Formats: sequence, structure tokens, C-alpha cells
Amino acid sequence: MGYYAIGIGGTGAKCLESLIHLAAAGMMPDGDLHLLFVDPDLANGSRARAGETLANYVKCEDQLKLGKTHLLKTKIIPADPILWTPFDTTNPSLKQFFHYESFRDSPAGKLFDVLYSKAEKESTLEEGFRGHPSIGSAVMAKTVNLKANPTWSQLRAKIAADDEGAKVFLAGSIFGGTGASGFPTIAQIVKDELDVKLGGALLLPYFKFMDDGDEDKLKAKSDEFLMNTQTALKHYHLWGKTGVYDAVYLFGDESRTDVENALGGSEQKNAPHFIELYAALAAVDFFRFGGDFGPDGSVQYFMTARQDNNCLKWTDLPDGNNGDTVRPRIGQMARFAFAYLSVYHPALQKIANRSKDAYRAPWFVDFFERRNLSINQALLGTVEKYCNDFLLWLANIQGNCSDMETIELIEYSAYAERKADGSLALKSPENFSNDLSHLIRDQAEAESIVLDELWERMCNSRRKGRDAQDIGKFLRALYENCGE
Amino acid sequence: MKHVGCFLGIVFVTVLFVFLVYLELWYFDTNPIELGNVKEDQWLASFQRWAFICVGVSGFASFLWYGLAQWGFKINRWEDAGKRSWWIILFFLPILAIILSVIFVERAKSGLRFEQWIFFLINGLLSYYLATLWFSPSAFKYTPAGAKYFRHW
Repeated sequence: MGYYAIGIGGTGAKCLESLIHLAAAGMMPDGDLHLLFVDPDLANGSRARAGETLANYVKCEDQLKLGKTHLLKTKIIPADPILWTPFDTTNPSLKQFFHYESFRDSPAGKLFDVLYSKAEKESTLEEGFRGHPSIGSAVMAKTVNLKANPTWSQLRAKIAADDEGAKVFLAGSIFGGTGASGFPTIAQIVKDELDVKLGGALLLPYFKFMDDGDEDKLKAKSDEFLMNTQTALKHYHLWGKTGVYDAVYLFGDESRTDVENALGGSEQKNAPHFIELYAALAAVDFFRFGGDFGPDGSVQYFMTARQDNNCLKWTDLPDGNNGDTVRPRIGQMARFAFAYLSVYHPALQKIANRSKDAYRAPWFVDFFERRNLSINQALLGTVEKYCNDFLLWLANIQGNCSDMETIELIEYSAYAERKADGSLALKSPENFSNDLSHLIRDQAEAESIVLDELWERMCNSRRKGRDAQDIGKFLRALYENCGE
Repeated sequence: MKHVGCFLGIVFVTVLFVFLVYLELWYFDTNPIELGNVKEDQWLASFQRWAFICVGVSGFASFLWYGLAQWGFKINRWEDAGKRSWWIILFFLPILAIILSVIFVERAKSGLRFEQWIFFLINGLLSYYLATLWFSPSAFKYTPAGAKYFRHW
């Protein structure tokens, strides 16, 4: 079965970023995952980061022959190109896009004047719809064409060819511009043309802008988020806009996190947030179970809650197993990435520079030397990049929250630190903590492992992962030794 | 279980060399040695005592290496790995025993002098080398020189 996830706007892209990491941790059901970003803002920083993560994942998954394991289990197939934008090469204003001048004196022109302010008509749209779904909806409805547009037609062909019944999942925010406009519009177009199970994660406000000054500019304003959300939800309800979905997951956070107010472009690079992890878990849930219930055809709405309103623990994460699935999976992946970055990748670099030191790492002799396997620097470098992406994402899931909340998932101080501007960055590997055992909070005793013990396990693992090959055999052993 | 296996392995190698000492004694018994003022029985008893000391010290050094490597050294970084210098330092224990053997056991004046030296070295060094070559903790299993070629578990 094929799974299709479409991230609409910056928030949608961030949800897919989380979904990629969950796929890396082996949380997706069996089957390929197809991804597409939808964003008029070509340079959106959040989307660019998600794109880099995706590229690193795909390179790793393509080149590593890991055999049957949870690590990078899912084959992710990016759309070609991965980003679809409603605009061609030009960055038109709304009135240019709709050729307003040609009908301004007609009744349609008058209606246009009623619906859109002067600023909305004249602002260029290269940095998105600036928190104005009224603009986005018009543009999306006009441009999303599953038959004529190459990106969409390609996706359409893949879905149509899927005999087992494809599942399509859309993610976007309800309070911004792009997500709010694309979520109902794209869903309707997809549902009208294709026989698919359709799920969606609709993100309600969970952050606010630190500085909403510069009132003159046409941009998203966090004061308007709640009102936008209320209006949009009412609109969806009245017009049955979510009725096209088989399952809808709604998320928000009362204690909204502060983020920089960027108009768009590369500056709009908001750190990952735990709400996006919820959205990604929703996608996993939908791909696993969604659409199989609701025989009366009614849309399913899902609800979850935290035990403590201001605290998030593993047990609060909805995995259908009281957090006992998501914690071990993410924990194992985190330990793998931590160990790889702090010990194994540096060791491989040292051995590459001085091969006579190979005896110091028995696992190297077992996995590389005796198999006449050379150190593939490019591939190991890609794994390093992905591990960096994963750990930084996880650190942000833990560290990027409002002062009103406590998140008790991991101890990111073992490998990351807060910079002067408040953002989180990875420490250099030599400054990683030696204590891997407390990286994941509230873990079962069997999941706890120290680096020294891991090294020993690695030295006894040459027979592990018989169906893995080359460097994949070594990485598979490292991953499996980081588990219970 | 793994540790028990390695301990038994070290004991096995040590016992093997104890038997070797008896073979060496038999060798000296069948090949007369020209000694100075010492009677042959006294010399053989002295050789046997010091040969056992060499083997015992080697066994002790092997266990010491195992204990240090397994429970003393923690590998949290690449820099912590290997510890070949420690393995070499522990070689000095059997070397010391060999030096003492050479001092306290009268050297043969002719004929078997070469063999006498060889036996001292074998009793002292080879037993430590073989015990650690095959039965070092897995995290340091290739630290003994040449272990990469001889150890396949």
C-alpha cells in the first residue's frame, strides 16, 4: 500500500519533517511513503530544512542495505519536484495573478474589490499568502490541477496505479495563509478525482510571534490567529469542508511558544515543536488504522489530551499504547544517532587517517577489515548529517516550548546547547556527554544503555543482521544494540 | 557466562604451561646438563620452582589484564579504546619473573644453555601472550599484537 503525505505551507512542511523522523525510527506501517510540499514561498526556511532532512533520509535509505529492521524502514519517495508552488517563475501580486485589470469594471471586478483589500491585491505573493487564506484559497482553487500540472498529475498517476488503495494525508495550519487555504481546497480536488482514503492534520494555534510590530505590512499576525481559527472552524463546519476527509486530527496548544515574526522566505525558519510530532503521529495513526472505521461514511474526528495540562510526557503521546511504542522507537533512534555522532563516526575518521589503529576498535575489524570493506566517507557523512538532523529536531521537540510548559521527553543537554539567540544547536561531538543512559526520560530499565556497554555489544555483533550488507551491516548492528 | 568462559580459558592456558614445565623437566632429565657445584636434582627442583613462578605470574598478569580491561577501562570515546600500552606494561610482570629466574636458577655451563633460556621465555611470556591473545575481553579482543589474525570469536 502506498502512503501519500502533503505538507501545506511552513507548518505542513514541519509536520512532514517530524513524519520523516518517525519513519526513520521505524514507526510507519509497511509500504512506501510519498511526500510533497505545497508552498508558494520558494525560500521558506522551515520547508527548506524539511527538504534537507528529506534529502539526507533518502540518500541514507537508498544507499544503505540495512535488511529487515526498523531503522530507515520506510522508503520515502519525494515528488518530482518535491515542492509545488502555484506560481510559475514570476512572483505576481493577487491582482496580476487574476488579471484584475481586465475585469475591474465588471461586476466580477466589484466583487473582487469587496473580497480583497487594496493591500491584499497589491502585495506580491513570493513569500506566501501572509496569513490571508482568502488570497490562498482563490489561488489554490485556480492552480491545483491534478491532470494538467506535471507534479500533481504524477502524483495522481501513482495513486491511481495503487491497487491496494492509497491513503492521502494532508497537514497544514488553520491560522496562517497557505495551510488554511490549501487544507480544504486540495482535499476537495483530490477527493473529487481520486478514490482514496483521505486524512488530515489541522494545526490550531500553537505559537505566537514575539514582535508583531510593523502593522502596515501585509503579514500573519498572531493576534489574529485565534480569530482566524474560530472563523475557519466555523466555516469548515457550516460548509462541511472537512466532510471530504475520512479522518481529521486537530491539534493546538494553549501555551503558545514565541517565535520570530518573519514575513516569509529563508527567515521563516521556525524550530520544530512537539505539536508537529503529534501531527506526524496522527499521520502514522491514519496510515495504520485510519479510514478503516466509520462505516457510515462519516468523518472521524480524533481527540487526545495530556494528563497534566502544562506538562508533556511520553505517556501523553498518542500511539495507542500509552507511549510505550513511540518512546522505545524514538529512544532507540536517538541513542543510535547520539552514539554514532559521539563515538563511532569519529572513530571511523581516526581509523581512516591511521589504519594501523584499527585493532583498537574490534567492531571495525569485524565489520570492515575482515569483509574488505573500505570506509565510504561520503555515505558515512550522509548518515552523520541525518543523525544531526534527528538529534536537533528531538532537542527542539523538548526545548522549544513556552515558559508555561514542561516537557519531559529527553535530556537534550547531553548533546545540545542553547545559543545566545535562544535557539538550540548541537554541541561538537567531543563535547557530547558520556552518559547515554539518561538521554531518554522515563525509559524502561531494559532500554537504558551506557556507551561503554554499547561498545562491548558492538564487539560481539559481527553475526547480527545477516540480511544487511556492507556498511549497512555495521549500522544495523549499532542500531539494534541501542535497543532493548 | 562470557566471563566464566574467558576465566576458564586463561586457566586452561596456564595449566597447559604447567604441563609444559613437566615436559621441560623431562627434556632436561634425558639430556644431561653440565652444572657447576650444584647437583642435578637440586638444579631441576630450582628450575621447576621458578618455571612455575613464571607461569603463575603470567596467569596472574592475564587475569589482571582481563580485570582491568573488562571492569577498569570504560570506552566512552575513541581515545579510551585499545589500551595496548597497558597490555605491554603487564608483560613486565612475567619479564620480571624471568629475570629473577635467570638470577636464581644456576645457568647451565654448556650443552643446554640455549634451551634453558628458551624455556624461561616460553614459561613467562608465551603463556601471558596466548592467554590474552585468545581470552581478552571482547572490547579489547584485538589489543594483543597479532590477535586480529588469531582470534575469530
